Amino acid sequence: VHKDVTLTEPAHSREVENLYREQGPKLWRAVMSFAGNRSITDEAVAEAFAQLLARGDAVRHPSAWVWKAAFRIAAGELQRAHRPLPSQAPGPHEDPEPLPEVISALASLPPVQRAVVVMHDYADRPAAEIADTLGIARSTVRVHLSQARRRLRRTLEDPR
Amino acid sequence: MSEPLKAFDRLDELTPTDLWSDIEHRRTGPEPEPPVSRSRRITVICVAFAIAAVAIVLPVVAITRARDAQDPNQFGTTGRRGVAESPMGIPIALTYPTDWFAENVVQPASLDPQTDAGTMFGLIISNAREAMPAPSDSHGDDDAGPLPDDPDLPPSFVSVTILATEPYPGNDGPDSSLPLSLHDAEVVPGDGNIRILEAQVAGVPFTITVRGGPLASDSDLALADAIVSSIQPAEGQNANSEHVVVPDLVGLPISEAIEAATNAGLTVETIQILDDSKLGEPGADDVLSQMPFAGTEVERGASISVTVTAMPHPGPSPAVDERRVGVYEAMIRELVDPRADGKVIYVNSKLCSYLGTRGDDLGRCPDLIAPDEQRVLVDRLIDLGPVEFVDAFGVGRVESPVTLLGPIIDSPDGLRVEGGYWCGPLCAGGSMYVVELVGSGSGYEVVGTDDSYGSWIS
Repeated sequence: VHKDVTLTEPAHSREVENLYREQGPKLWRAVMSFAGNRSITDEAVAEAFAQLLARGDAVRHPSAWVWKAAFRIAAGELQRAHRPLPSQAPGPHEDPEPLPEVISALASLPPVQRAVVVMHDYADRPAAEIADTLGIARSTVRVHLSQARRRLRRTLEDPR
Repeated sequence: MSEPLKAFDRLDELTPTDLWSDIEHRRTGPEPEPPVSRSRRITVICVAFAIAAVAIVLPVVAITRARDAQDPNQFGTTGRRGVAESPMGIPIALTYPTDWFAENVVQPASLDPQTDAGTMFGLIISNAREAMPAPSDSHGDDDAGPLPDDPDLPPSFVSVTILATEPYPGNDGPDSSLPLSLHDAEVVPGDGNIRILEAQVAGVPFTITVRGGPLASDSDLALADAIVSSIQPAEGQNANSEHVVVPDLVGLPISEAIEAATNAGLTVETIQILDDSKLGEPGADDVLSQMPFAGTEVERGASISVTVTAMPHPGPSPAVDERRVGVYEAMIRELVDPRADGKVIYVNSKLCSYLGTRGDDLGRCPDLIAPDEQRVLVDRLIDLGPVEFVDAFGVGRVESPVTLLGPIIDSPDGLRVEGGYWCGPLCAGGSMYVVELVGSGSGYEVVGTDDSYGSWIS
């Protein structure tokens, strides 16, 4: 259940911190699954929350906003850096702990499908929010989700 | 919906970085201004709107009227332009309605085109409500607030180019939720219009003008409702240059190869046939090799030699002959899984035309609807009976017989339909929905719908 609250000053900072404590770990793991890179994930999540802090009560739905911002920042960073996907070039310095197999499998998906399946199946974000985040129609989210699941299953069942 | 993948449970083993101190440290910008009282805010907004109405709306209306008067073929508010570069380095300009949004998308070199075809090159168009705001745009969205001022907003998020309404009955290619691309774009016939392929091989910049379809104002249809109203060489350009680039014909059925060569200003003069006894086998008429190679620059009108295994017909004549019908019918029957239950109930003419002839105008569909006693022979199209679901627009429920067309594969859960097409009442109007069905036996579940079809506005 994702409950958005309207933040008002002066409790804003505390509310954001509460939001971070409550959803930050899930968001971090979701972005990590999408980006496959710890430094990009750290940057995206930190920047998203920092911008949420800076915007004060201008953001009506902080939870949805911060998820959207984090994913878009991560995607922008990936795009800018042209970073290889984790399955292609694991970064031992950046990811000291072994990555779950599913992250490698996710890397085989196109970015949109990766984002959709992570946000929906792992993070349990609502389809409308995913559609808004990715700038696509809700029906398209469902199609991507279906295709992503199918490909993920295939990859996980038959890792090559 | 199926259950979430259990593999995701393992993600919880990842240890997130504690970023809170970093987040607070980043907060170096100016403190947010103290909240303005509600009544004052409303007053300011009203005044601002009044000024905007006078300063912006009136000139826009005047400009729009002038533009419409110049080109009645264009959508009323067409005017914005986006520019992209094709994979061949050819500039492409896109003109689209002012309330739509476009963003350049270039296929990242790091992606595998086989698996990442969802992130195709192209111009993404949608209406403003669905689109990501441009970096410099301030949409004044007080709901989500402006996005981070990132000049490199992630184009890969919005991954498909929708410029056309040409039916696309097969979704067996690379995954793509809306399987249309520039190459599929059709154009309303008109003076000076050229085919995209023609422009590309000629190497001339061109301009694509799109207009909204009848439902373009519906945000949920944003990505699927653009109609190409013209494709023309850029001003001062001429598609009839002396040299053209040889298109890649390998893998194309011979009829398509001939068409592609013709569109490029070339001819297919020599067709080497390796084994005509293979006639009717899948891919027998696909081009195996070509000379000159794709990408070679040759004089317009030059000839190309190709090799095929078998030749389905003696020449590129558009005339219908029974042999060709037989080949195409065999291709369709090849897709049939005889294990599936069901009967052939309907063959959509567009579908038949596309699948059977790959766009070639055969003149008529092969007669696939067998008599009752023989229907088991052709079970590709399966009557699933009435299915009720929320339609692609989310505005109503549709109950209609479902026609399924999709590969049926063996899976641990039994026979499984991997995709399909529903041809409901709108079929008769020339419009179709793509419906993805997943399930087995009678337990099919509609997991996605998309209006990937459309109809020309005449």
